[in-house]
Amino acid sequence: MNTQNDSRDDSAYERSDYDHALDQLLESARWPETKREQLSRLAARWRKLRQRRRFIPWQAAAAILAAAGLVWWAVGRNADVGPEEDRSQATAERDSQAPSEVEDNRPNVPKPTDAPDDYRPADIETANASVNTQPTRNANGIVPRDPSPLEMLVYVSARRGHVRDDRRGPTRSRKPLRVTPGRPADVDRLERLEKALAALDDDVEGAPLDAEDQRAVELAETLSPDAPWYEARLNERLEDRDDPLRAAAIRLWTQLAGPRAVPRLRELYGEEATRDVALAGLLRWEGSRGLAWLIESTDDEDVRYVVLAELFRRGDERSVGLFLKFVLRDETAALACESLDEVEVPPIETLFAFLQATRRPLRLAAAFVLGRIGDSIVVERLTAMVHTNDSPQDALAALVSSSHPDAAEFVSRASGELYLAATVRAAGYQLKSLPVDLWRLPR
Amino acid sequence: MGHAVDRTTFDRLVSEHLPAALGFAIQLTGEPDLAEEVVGEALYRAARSWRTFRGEASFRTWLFRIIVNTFRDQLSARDDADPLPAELEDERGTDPASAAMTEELGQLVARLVSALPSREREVIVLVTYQGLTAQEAADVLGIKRSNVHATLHNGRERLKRQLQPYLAEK
Repeated sequence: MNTQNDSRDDSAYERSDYDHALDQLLESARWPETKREQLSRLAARWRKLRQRRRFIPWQAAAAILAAAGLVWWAVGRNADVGPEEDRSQATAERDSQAPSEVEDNRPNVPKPTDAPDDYRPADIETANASVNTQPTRNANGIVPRDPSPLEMLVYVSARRGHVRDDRRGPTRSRKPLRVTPGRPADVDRLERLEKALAALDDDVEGAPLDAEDQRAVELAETLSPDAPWYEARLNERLEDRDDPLRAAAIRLWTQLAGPRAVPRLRELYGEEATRDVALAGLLRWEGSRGLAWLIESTDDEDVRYVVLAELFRRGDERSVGLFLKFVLRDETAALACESLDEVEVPPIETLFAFLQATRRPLRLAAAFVLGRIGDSIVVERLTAMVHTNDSPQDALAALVSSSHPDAAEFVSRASGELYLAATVRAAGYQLKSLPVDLWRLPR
Repeated sequence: MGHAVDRTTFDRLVSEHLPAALGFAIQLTGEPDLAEEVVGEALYRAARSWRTFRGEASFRTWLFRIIVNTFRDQLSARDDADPLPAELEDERGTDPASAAMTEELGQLVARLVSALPSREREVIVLVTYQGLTAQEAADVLGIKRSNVHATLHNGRERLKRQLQPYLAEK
């Protein structure tokens, strides 16, 4: 405390401004004490930040160097193969490649196969035999040459950037790559596709569309050996707005394309006729931020409800964090609370982790949601937190929000206890201080 | 001329100064929860720019500068997006004499300090409660030393007016 206002270098100033009575009063100032739990939360945050910070210079640099070296080595090997062989391999690759670079790690989804469906080793040998290996001049008199390793590196990087477009935010979109057949039509496969679409079309009549879309998943599995071919055919059918089986085509294509379907699904969501089916696909494959954007971009309460439920169901830190932000908004709070009932297995652990968040509104929103879930195991854990002095105020906020009889009994008992009564009152005030009035929400 | 500290030293410095940082933020904001948010964000910024600490200033001055900047950003964001409800503003403008009926004098003084205009508040807290010299406060706030003097004077005058009934008693 330096009520003398810096005696080391400002003595002239002090003499003119010195006021003993005022300094005495200022000295008596008492701010709220720093709490142990606040310091431990901040220390935990620092540890987390420190780990992230340490990762950046070492592992990331090493990973980039290793990747660059690998590409360099691979390109060097390819350069030895020869221009025409290289080109024929590239053509074979392109034919076999529906847009399949984005890793598809969701369950029950058939993976695109790597080999082209009509791959014939003999064809390539024949083609190689007929190739003139001498470089020839083109019309401008320029002799074509192999790309240098550096040029290949730039090319590979550009292709990777092209693929990454799929993962960008909801406002950016790119039409799916259109793959033209270039081969004789396969009657069997077309028939199989038509049957699958007809089966799904029948299913539309009877079953509601949802994110799981089990029927589409099953049918996609039956097509999985030739997934790239089917995906390409279905991709073309999406463009035909008069196709009576368009909705079925979207459902099947969504399962085959996986996360790659997201940009096109966003466009289809904008069309009235395909909105519901596109929404079902987005619920399955769209990222959390994209789902949050869906909630913000619509006034349709049904859409908001299902998307909020999906965010909560996903259970990861980012999705639940976004869900809690919608709990804190006036226009979505009630729907968010209603949507809790949609989720059979609520992300309890994530919500408890949010009780340690440094942002108070997020802590209180998590406490409120935990209170609303309020099964006996959650209530038991919350009461244990109060007794062990582990974020007792947030735990009490959760218990105050709960309608579970055990919680109500605990709160009533705590209100009568000397050392807990003030904390109970403070928890109530904290909840009331939130920008949204959570008390008015139906229980 | 200072030189960069290694990571281990930097981590140790952060851990050592965490309680002081939180205390400083509480004095600035007047609210423990808001202070925690400010320090949390300041830690993020410190983690990003730790290499800029080259030991030329004391670590406390360096960390406080980040906290002050974060506090200002949050204050302006709050003013833009979420104006204080009227009743809260009224509460802060309460007549000291009547407010003292319901709370401790020390708490009242703290509340008045934390409700000063932001620049005056920063100077008073740094110089009066954190014990920084005028030059150190000027370094933290990025202003001239003469400005620190002038702002300190204005802040003290304002507090003197608000605390007049208690000063008269003394």
